[in-house]
Amino acid sequence: MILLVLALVVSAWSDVDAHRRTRDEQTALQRARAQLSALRRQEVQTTRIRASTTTKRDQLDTFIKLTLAELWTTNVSLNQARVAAYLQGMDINTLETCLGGIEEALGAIKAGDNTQATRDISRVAGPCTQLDGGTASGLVYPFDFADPDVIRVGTTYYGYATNSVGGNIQIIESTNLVHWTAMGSALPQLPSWANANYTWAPSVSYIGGQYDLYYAADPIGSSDECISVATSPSPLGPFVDSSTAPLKCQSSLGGAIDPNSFVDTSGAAYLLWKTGTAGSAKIWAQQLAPSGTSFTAGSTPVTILLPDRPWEGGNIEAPDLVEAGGRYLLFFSGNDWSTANYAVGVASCAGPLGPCGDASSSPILVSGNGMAGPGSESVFADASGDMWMAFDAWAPGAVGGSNGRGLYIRSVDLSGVPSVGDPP
Amino acid sequence: MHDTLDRELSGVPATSPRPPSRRRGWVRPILVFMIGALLASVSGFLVSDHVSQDEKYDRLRATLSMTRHDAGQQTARLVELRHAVGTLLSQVKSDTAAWSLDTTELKAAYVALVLTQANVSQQNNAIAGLHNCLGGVRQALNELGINDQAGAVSSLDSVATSCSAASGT
Repeated sequence: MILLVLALVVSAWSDVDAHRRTRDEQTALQRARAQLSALRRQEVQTTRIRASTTTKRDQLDTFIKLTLAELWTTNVSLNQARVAAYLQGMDINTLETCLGGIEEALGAIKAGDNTQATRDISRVAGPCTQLDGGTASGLVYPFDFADPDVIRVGTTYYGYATNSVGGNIQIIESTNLVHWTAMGSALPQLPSWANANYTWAPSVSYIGGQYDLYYAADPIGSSDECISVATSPSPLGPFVDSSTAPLKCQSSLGGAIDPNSFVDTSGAAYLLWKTGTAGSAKIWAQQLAPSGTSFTAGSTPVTILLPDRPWEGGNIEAPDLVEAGGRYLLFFSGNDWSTANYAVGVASCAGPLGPCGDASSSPILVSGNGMAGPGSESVFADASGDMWMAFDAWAPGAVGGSNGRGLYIRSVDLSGVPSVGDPP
Repeated sequence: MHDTLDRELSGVPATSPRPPSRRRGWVRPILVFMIGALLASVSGFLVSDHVSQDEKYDRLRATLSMTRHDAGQQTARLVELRHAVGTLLSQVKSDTAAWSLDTTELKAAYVALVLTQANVSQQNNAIAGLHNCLGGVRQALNELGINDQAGAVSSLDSVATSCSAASGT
């Protein structure tokens, strides 16, 4: 019995212990569950924080990308603006330099010092050329230098032009065809029969041991325009016109202008010129005496070319005869000189006294490429035999009126139908 | 009860002795039996309850083990998450600083651009003025070149304003 009771007591104690263990385990489980639950809540919360932080980071990344893109665009614009400002600064410097030189030239002319005026404009020729579009168009002298004639003597080129700042007949010189220096007036003194300030379209040739300067002049008291000639032992002048009357007038045709002297390979000299206006224009030629200051005795002027192409607008002028490869090529200008329609054409002649016929139905040099109304051409050879064409033209946007025509030079290929090429 | 039982077992009367009866002969075995039965049933109950508690304990233990395992995994995930959040916060911090710098740089670039564009605009006006002035002065030069004093004066007058403005550039 006692054993039984003992067994019972042991059993009861063991049961109680089992209950205690179970309770303890239950308590531990509850704690573990509570902990797990807390961890899960924390996980949910942390996950939420991670999501919001990720969103924030992504937004920041997007903002950064947008900001950087905008910064890049802004910097590009800024660089462009800075370059523009820098170039503008250069433009302003160029403008101020050109303007300064011209203002000084103006002041010099007002003071009656034309020599100083030519120096002033020569000094700023570069900047002024740049302002007029640079040398890409062939512009080499950006000041008023209309109806040019260019000759070469040795290694020096001389350019002559209609009266303007440089005097009655302007003269400039160069050794490379690109940089030209104003030398003043080739014809300081006009003959007594000629009006001042109306001397234009010079042409210079070495004839009879001297340089002969042919030019158009306006006789006092006459509405005619006539041609006269001055001479000098030097291409630089001064040329002296001791005539008492013009060399050629053709008053019945309204006067003679645009003389062009030509010496062929045999040494015979000729003078070409133009009479009339649109609708009555003609190009004439006549042989000169060996001295060049008069025409060959018994010779008479002959018409060698008439306007016959639509682009000419009824007017041809500014003849320039060239002998090349056994051919006589007559370059001329057509249409209205004060417009952008003015252009250069070419005809082929049987000889210096014609007859001539158009070598091309269209002009070989027209407006464009940074110039307007090119004309009054003068074709010459450099020391190596390459051919060049000097001509005047307006700056685009400044055509006619009191605007000036600058001097342009471009290469010219005389083979076949002549064509105009690049600047020097 | 013990007294009664003892008396019954010893056969000694408590107060007044009574003659032994035939009934008392089977009471004792019955009582022993009943007590034994009671003890057995209590013992059975205890054993059964113990077994039940053990099973419950085992289940609880298994559940606790799983729960602790889950909690361990959860803790690991949480640590990982917190690490990720820490990394993200660090990125946000650095991104915020970078954005702030970029924004400052952008503002500076904007200011510089506005100033430069204003300068460009101003220089454009200056250039236009200079061109205008130069055009008039060149015309005057051409006109003076052919002794047209009146034309030159007129040309200069027409650009006097531009030239005055240009002289200030």
